[in-house]
Amino acid sequence: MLLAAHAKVLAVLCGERDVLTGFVAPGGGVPEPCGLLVEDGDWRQLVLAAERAMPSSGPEQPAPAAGFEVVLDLSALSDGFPSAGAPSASAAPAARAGADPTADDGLPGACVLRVVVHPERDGWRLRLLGRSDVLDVPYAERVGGYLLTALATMTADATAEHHLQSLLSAAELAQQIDGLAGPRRPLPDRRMHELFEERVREHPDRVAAVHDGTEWSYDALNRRANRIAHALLARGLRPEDVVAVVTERNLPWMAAVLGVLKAGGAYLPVEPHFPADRIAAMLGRSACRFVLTEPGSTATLDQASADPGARGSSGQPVPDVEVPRRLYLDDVLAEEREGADTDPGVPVGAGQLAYIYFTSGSTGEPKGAMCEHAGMLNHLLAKIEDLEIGAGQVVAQTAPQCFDISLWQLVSGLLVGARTLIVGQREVLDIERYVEALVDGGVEVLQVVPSYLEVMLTWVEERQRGLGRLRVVSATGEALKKELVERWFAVFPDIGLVNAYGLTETSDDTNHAVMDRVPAHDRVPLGPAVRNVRVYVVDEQLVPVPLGAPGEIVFSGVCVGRGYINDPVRTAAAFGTDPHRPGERLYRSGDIGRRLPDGALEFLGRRDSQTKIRGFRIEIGEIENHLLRVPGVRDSAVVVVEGTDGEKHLAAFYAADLPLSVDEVRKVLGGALPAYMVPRIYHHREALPLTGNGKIDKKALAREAGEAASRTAEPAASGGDSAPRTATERRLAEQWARVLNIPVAEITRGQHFFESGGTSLSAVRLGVESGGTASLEDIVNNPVLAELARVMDEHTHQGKEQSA
Amino acid sequence: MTNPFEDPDGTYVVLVNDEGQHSLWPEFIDVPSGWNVAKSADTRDACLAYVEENWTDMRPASLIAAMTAAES
Repeated sequence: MLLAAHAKVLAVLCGERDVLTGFVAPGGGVPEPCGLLVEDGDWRQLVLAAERAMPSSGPEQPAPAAGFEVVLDLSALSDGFPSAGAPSASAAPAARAGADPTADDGLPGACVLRVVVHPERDGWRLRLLGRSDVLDVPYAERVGGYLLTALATMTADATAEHHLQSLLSAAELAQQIDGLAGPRRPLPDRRMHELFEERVREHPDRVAAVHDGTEWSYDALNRRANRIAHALLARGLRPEDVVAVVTERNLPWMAAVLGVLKAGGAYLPVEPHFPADRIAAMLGRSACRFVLTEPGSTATLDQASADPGARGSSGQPVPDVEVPRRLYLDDVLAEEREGADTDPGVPVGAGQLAYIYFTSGSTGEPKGAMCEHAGMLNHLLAKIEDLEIGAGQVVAQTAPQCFDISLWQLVSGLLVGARTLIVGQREVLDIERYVEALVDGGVEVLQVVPSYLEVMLTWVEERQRGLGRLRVVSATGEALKKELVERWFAVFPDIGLVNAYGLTETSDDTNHAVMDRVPAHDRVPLGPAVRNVRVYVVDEQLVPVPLGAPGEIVFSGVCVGRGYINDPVRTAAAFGTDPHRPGERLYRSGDIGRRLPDGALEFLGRRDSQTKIRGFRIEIGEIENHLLRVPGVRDSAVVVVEGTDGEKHLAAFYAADLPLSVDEVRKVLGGALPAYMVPRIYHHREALPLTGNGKIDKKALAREAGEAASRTAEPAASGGDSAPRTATERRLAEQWARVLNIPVAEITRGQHFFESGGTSLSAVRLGVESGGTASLEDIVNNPVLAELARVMDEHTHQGKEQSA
Repeated sequence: MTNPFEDPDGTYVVLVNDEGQHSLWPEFIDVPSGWNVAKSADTRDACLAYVEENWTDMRPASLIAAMTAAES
């Protein structure tokens, strides 16, 4: 019975069902190994399983060489050891827990916790000995509490299902639900665009936004946004009607976003370069009524409009499919209408829909996450507070439109009289121009994905360049490695780092870890919850797990969005109910994490196959479903491969009678998926390997893909199958090998950079590797190795002539 | 980690709150306060079908009321 309770507590603390403990039997002796599988069921079953697992009765198991991490010591119980089948109700509740982690006696080797049971006159005494460098006193006290709770519930009703019972005390539950909640801050009862309008009245002439050398004042931006709002209203826009904005990232884009919100519509960002199929699916699924666009951004939009309606595979009906009405921003801004420049003053509720971002969906169709005005405003204010954005500062807008972080980058400064600098895609893809843009623009606040932060840091380390007025950088979208944080503070001790974590469904970031030095933890924490947000780490019953134990990260509070647009089924399955706060909605992230001793959240992994590559969220299932539609493919699997440089890419495996043309497969996937979701490498198999229970053995495939990545490269896609000849070609081949993570011997003169797995980010890296002799433009225009080498030679030649 | 919210063979109920928002809920977990059972225990597919049929306006009820009042 003691062993059953002990195993139960261990299982809960580790988040694993299979536990191993050392066990000292009554009467003494050396600790013997005791492994136990804590399966869902009632206490009686668990006690019987514990009985069978006793070292004296169970099969002999080898003891771990380093000793046990945890030992249950019953040596003091020389007699009166209770029979496991008949728990006595008086024994356990009479026990008292005493935590004494400073007493290190009896903790050999790897042992971090020794649970000792002593007999006393009126019952038993529980004594916990912990290694003080691993466990602190409050933790040991809580563990003692969990043991007593387990014994109490077990003896109260042996037929109760133990997996439905929480071991947490009322105080710890309250601490986790309320104590770890983000700070409560009043949310103004006004919408984001109304707060912007207040700033316009205060300082109409202050610069609100800059792009490519053009400045718009607060007043100029507001007038344009108002014209767009009035034009939409005049055409019959109703509250919450979805308006797609299909533009490059520029000043009219900014006016369009504000205009849609002012009119009471819902903003739907669409990147002009997305595949037509995906645009059609987004417009159809969201029942989009208006499209705001500009000449030059309509090429794929034209294809998408030719076939309106969702073309996804789910077969779910899409209501009210109508062809969205297209408006050109130039025309709209030039329209003469009385009062066109004035604020429309349309009443917009706090719970009204503000925007929709489509994210990858596992069934093959993207899902549109809806967020409301209150959630959006709360997040904008959290960014303003935690990044300390104030009047006159410059905030950089660098993220693509389809990435939800683009929104706060674009508009948060407008609430406090700051300035937004839109850094165009040409700059983002050319690290030298990017840093120049940040420095020349006086940027103080920046948010990037960690992989880009690494590229930027490498570049400035090599050049010994400063970053101008930059004051704080936020990293988001993927795990921020501690090594990068160490490098950052070594170079820029005065520029803060903020690790941000959150999901599109929760109105972007919900946790900010504000750092002014390298954190003490092994991993960079996700930080505490932001204002008015609650984050729980829970078990399968949505009950918080013990502090420090792994569990699913779920969200409650104003941040939780409304669900997925026109998709009640996927909404009801992911957006739940908060059992701890009446009537509140809860979003289950599918992320696994745990609490650190200071309450900060640590990310441990994903429950499902969702992954992130360069900050973009990807459902592996969506890619696999599209791969299955390629003629000839019978089965498919996609795995994530991490290169030696730590950068991740996708590798696809397909089962088919014969190998398919890689170009052909890429073309099919590229027609339906954004570029970041198209796998880099393709492996043909006659059949895919299966696990014991008949599922595709992804682990084996990931291993194969990892080995293949370090061994061979994809054959070059184009001709000219010969080794590099000139010195420049050979040097370039070495640089490609490093950037693309393939052996230099495999690289040929005729090789195509982007067809060999090159991405925009690896092209930026190549630019850095080449020491600036190859610009990103050179690489894009001359993706074949020999061609690029020739262009680089020409640059060098010209450079010599100039300096001569 | 298995998840009772995504178990295709599990038994579920459908919950609705005052805002008309629906949620799939494993049958063996207590109904949280603020929510009522709209459909009693059934298969996951049947519950999803119920949601699909009955949750047609995804706006919160209070917002629908406010927007309707603003229109009239």
